[in-house]
Amino acid sequence: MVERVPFIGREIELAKIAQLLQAHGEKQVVCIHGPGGIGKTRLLEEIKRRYSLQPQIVVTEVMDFDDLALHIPENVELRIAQALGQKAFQPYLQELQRLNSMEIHGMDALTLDNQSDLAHTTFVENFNQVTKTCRVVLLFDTTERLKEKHVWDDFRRLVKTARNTLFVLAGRNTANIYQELLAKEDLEQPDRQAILVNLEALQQQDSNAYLANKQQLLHITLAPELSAALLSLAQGRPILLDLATEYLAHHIPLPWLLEVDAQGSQTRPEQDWSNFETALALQLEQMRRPLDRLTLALSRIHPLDTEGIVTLLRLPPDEADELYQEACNYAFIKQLPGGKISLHDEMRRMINEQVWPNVDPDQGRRRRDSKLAVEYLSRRLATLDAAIKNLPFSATGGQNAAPPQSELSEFVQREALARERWALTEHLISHALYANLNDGFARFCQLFDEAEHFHRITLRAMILEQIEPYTAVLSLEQSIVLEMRKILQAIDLGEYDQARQMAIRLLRRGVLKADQRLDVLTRLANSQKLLGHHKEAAVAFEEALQICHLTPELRGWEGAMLNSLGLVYREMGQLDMALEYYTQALSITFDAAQMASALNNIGYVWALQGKYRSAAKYCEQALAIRQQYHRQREIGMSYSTLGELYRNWGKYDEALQYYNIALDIFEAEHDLLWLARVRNYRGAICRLKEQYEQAAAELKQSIQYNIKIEQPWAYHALGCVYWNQGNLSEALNCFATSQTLAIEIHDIRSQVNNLVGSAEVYYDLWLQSNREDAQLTRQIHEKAEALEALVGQGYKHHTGRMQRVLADIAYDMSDYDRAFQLYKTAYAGLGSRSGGYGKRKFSDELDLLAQKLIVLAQTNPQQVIRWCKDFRRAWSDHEILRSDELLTMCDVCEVEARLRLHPTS
Amino acid sequence: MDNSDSLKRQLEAARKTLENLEVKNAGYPALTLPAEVQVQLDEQRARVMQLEAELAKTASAPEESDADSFPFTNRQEEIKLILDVYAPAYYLLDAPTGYGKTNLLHEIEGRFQQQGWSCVYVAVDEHHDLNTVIDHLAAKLGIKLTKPDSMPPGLQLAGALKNQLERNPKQGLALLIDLEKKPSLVLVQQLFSLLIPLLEVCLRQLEFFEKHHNRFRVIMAGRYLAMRPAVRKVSLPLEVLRLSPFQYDVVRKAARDYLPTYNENSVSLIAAHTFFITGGHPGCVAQVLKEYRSRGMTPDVFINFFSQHIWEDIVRPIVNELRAGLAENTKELYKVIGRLSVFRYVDYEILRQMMGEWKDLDIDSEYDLADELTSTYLLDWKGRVLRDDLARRLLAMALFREQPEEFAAFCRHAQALCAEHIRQSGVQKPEIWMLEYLHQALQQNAALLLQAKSAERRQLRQKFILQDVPAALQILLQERVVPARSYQAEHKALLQTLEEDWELRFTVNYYLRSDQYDQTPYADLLATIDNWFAKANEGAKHG
Repeated sequence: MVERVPFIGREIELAKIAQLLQAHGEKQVVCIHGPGGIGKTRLLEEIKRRYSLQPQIVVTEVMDFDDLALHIPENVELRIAQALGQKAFQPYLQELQRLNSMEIHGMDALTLDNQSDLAHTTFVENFNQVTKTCRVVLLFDTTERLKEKHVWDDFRRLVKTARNTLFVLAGRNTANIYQELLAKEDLEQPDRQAILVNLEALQQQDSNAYLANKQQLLHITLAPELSAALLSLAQGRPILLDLATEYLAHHIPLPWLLEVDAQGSQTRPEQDWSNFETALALQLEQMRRPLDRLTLALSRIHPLDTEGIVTLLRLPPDEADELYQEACNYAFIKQLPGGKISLHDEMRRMINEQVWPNVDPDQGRRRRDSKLAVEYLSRRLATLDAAIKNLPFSATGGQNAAPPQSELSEFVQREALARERWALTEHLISHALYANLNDGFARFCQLFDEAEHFHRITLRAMILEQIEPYTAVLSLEQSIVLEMRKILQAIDLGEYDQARQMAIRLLRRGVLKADQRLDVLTRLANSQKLLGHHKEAAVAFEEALQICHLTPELRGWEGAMLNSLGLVYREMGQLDMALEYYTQALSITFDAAQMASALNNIGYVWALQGKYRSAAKYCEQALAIRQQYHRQREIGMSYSTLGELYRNWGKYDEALQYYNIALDIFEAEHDLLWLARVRNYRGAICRLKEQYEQAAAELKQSIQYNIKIEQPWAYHALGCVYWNQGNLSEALNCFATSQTLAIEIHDIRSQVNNLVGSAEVYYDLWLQSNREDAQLTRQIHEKAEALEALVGQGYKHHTGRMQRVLADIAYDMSDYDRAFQLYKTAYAGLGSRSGGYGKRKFSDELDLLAQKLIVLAQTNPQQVIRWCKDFRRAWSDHEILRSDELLTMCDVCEVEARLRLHPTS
Repeated sequence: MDNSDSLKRQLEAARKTLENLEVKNAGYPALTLPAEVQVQLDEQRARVMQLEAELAKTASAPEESDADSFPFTNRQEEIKLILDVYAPAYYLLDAPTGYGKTNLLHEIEGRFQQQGWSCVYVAVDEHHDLNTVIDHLAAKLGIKLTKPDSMPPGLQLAGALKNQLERNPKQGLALLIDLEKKPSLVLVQQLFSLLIPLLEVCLRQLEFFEKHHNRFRVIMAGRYLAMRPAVRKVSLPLEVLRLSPFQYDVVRKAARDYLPTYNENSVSLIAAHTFFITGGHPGCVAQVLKEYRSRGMTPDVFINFFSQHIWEDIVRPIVNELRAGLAENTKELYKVIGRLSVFRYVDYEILRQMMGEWKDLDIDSEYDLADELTSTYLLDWKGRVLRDDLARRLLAMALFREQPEEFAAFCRHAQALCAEHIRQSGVQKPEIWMLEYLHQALQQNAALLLQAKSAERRQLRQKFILQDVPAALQILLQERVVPARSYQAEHKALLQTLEEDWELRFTVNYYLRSDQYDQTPYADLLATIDNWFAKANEGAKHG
């Protein structure tokens, strides 16, 4: 076996690195720039070799972006964490674990981004703890292969925030990276901290030494004029010297090579190099040696380990192992962690351009290789799956207490395996598609759906990338199936408008089968809903529902469509419509899960309408069904709904009991979304029970989960707590934060809450200003207008509250007629809920109005009597909830007024 | 490009290098020229002189032949490769029995010695071990090894050799090791991995060896060595040089040299018969021509009477030895190589079609089969097809001698596969498959030729020209639906490929000859093709 040529030269560059290593406490980024084959990788390896054993210095393995595993988010950080010691990175690993848990539970893209940011920040903190005691050297190779923005952004943030670290980047684009570092603010002193090292060709004497070494290893001697020609041709690039010497060990030089002038060849280097490439290609074409065949295989399938070589080259394991060892000694082979090898990209390019078209003009051999690669990768996936399955599940991201070290260690193992699986999946799809488009497409669908099942959004994105080059050759049916998956991906990435447009385009093509049309309409409706276009969402769901009606085999979906329609109307505040759809859903379905869902939804709406007893019955029946089928998550949701019901009912202790059960279930399930939600609800209960400190603690904890869709509610409720505590400015701040977040995610309910809550707080401030600050009343009117624009006639209760505020202002300004009109409509809406909102319960609202009437009766009893009669007429409508309480209040106030009018009688 | 053209180019390059060196060092007074530069200049001048001598030799008259012994024929290409100033250091001459390996080694020995090299030849057989080989080498080199000695013999030889060359400088050292007589694989491995590297390392101490191109060379010759895994794994950069059988032109030249008083027609015809019945195997060619000269008959009569004898006593033993060698060294490939010998070349598609024929073959795909064939040096990739010029014709010959009906059926099947291949969309270079189609159309009639009846050949000629060629053109152009505007390009490509196909030219001329072997049938073929294209173009204009 030929040995590897020892490292030669580069003393200037190594001296520079040695000098930088001495600058303890400082951060530098060394950008090693140079063309392919110049020796960047060997230089990084030499840095690793020289400084690995030095005290106070930790040098990581070379992280080569040619390794697709490093293109997966968080993998670079994980590798660094593992290299620097897992213990120091425990907090980071915990956050990563939480991120993992969130993804598994289908958290939205914004929430995931948030958590990813938090994990990254924690990583940097942990990293800087390590760098307090030692200088860290991070080595990165082939940076030009890193295209993934997310990974690149994380990397830049690490560069920005790391301390006492020497980054050494090598690649063909490092000059650009260097310019970027100078231009942007990633470094405090870019001129001093960013260092560009233009890796020149090996010096003449180093090239000579390299060539001499290579000849000695091969036991050959090249003529001086031939050596000179080679040195001139290779231009100091070791990889070319290596290849050329190997070539000349077997061949008489072709005449053109003897004509390469040692001094003058620069006049036609491209022609010379092209000739040389052709000569090398001819050598490989024969595929005489296993190494030739391995080189060809590696040009397309990489990285490979011994098992891969066994499969691809059909060699016995011992021969494959021997070949692996042999390959490691060649400059054009790169060694990657985990016993894998890859081909130097320059060599890969050369083979793909020069050799494959000749040896495989119809691509049959490459298809065969890809087929074998699929076999190999499938086996590796199965092995990884088995390894993952054997690890205990430890995704406890929802718990507050730090998980034990062993659990964290298991998580790291699991995560490393899972992420390796991602990289394999990407390769697998790529080769499956190349080997056979139809089989590959089926494999694509299978793996995409599998990734969807586990909510792996990033993996899905990577899978989609692989199919991109084939979109033009897909059949009509395949392109439809692909588009449907793209829509789903856009929704999950939070790109709702894009999803909406794609769905509309697909529907317009008019070639969809009924089931596909149903699917696309559902996705369109969901996009519209998430964009806040509830009416359009309802239209799309209605159309989907029609398809279910008309297509017997799709009838089973009617229940789901009706439930979805109910939800849309509920979010629009049109509770009667919501109830109608939920009831229809219940009436047609025989599916236990759908029944339970419909029952729960009906109960929820009835509770919103104040019909608590009936609501409780529905919710309890839903719970019983779910308990029967042991659907833990849904059981937890039922308990949570019951908690809400009792909160609205004003029975706070009962509500708290239900919430506690739900919390236990969601903690056991590691369901962060619902944990954040139930913590919000518990916070609300504590506030209503006037336990403000506890309420704030619960709500802040919910916020810490970083669940985007729960945050508007949490901030609003926290604002309410501050309001209760009299801290009005903080309350307004919280409402404003909540409003921004709610608009971002099209959360109408929270927007409504914030508009009303802000108006009520402004009213309090106006009172504090002795009714003098006109700016505040303008603010209140603006909020009222915004609310009307947002919900129209929906959200009766909230509209009632807003009108009540406006009525109060009119009353305080002695504009009694306007106040009377506003109170009349306001209280018709306020009656729809008993408690659990704003600052007051319904009974409080009644008391306040009664007080106002009684006070007014002292000076103007006639007017109060007239008002009460009018109120009674307006509120006698059977559709108005709590009309009995309203009418009672009217009677009491009218009596008071009469007594004022005739005090002696 | 012929040999003299190549020599001229090399000479030109060598002169240019010399001129550069002289210009570069013109500033030195003659006595102060550094030793290293002086050596370089001397070397380059020697190379120029050597090339001039070689060129002069090619221009001179052919060598005179000894009337009793068959002259050393051909192999100029191999000699040139091995003796080249820039030749690789380690050659393995690999060929079955009778290809003239030993003769070639002796020829090389003389040439090296003429050029001032120290060059020794040793033959190694199955009884030898490493120490015996070292002893033989030492004896030939005039080195006395001390026995017993604490130093292993290999080291002793290496050291002594270095000292010898230091004392008595030569232009280089060439070891010619003849492994013809089946030495043990262990010994072969020891030579490659121990002795040769050791000698090279020791000699490298001398500046001369360090500064000049591969002045230590080893040329080994053996049978079926390149295909042996143990040899394929050696770390030395071993260049395998396979000795090929003679082409018709070489056989004719050998016949001309050996039969200087015979007329041209007789020489051409006996050369054609000899090539046909020996497949160009050098040893068999020599024996057949000797037999012919001794019998004194006309070529046709000689063949009619002696073809069976030639097959049984001259060719068949060689084929049997070849088969045994393949069976021993390429177990799976042995199953396929006979059947594949019907084809002059194959590609993945043909191999894929053929895979179905071998039910018990433990090879998964056409790609693996191709890899096996190339890694064992049985086939070479040349211009996108796999060819074998070493054993194919002998194996095909055996097939048609032993199973003539099966052979004809195999040829028909091969012809059908070629037709199918041409019709496939995206087929590369369809014209080569058309030529193979035509070759198969003739080759299936091989048995007819043994009787050498001109009437049957006339019929065959008529069928070939009137049916087979038009059918092939029909497939090439019309079944592939080639647009008329491309006819001219197709025509040109076909003629060019035909021009390069010496074997088809021979087959056409031999199978379709009248009484003499000449170029008439081939000319008819060209005319038929030209006419067909002319008509097709005319038809396209009017249609």
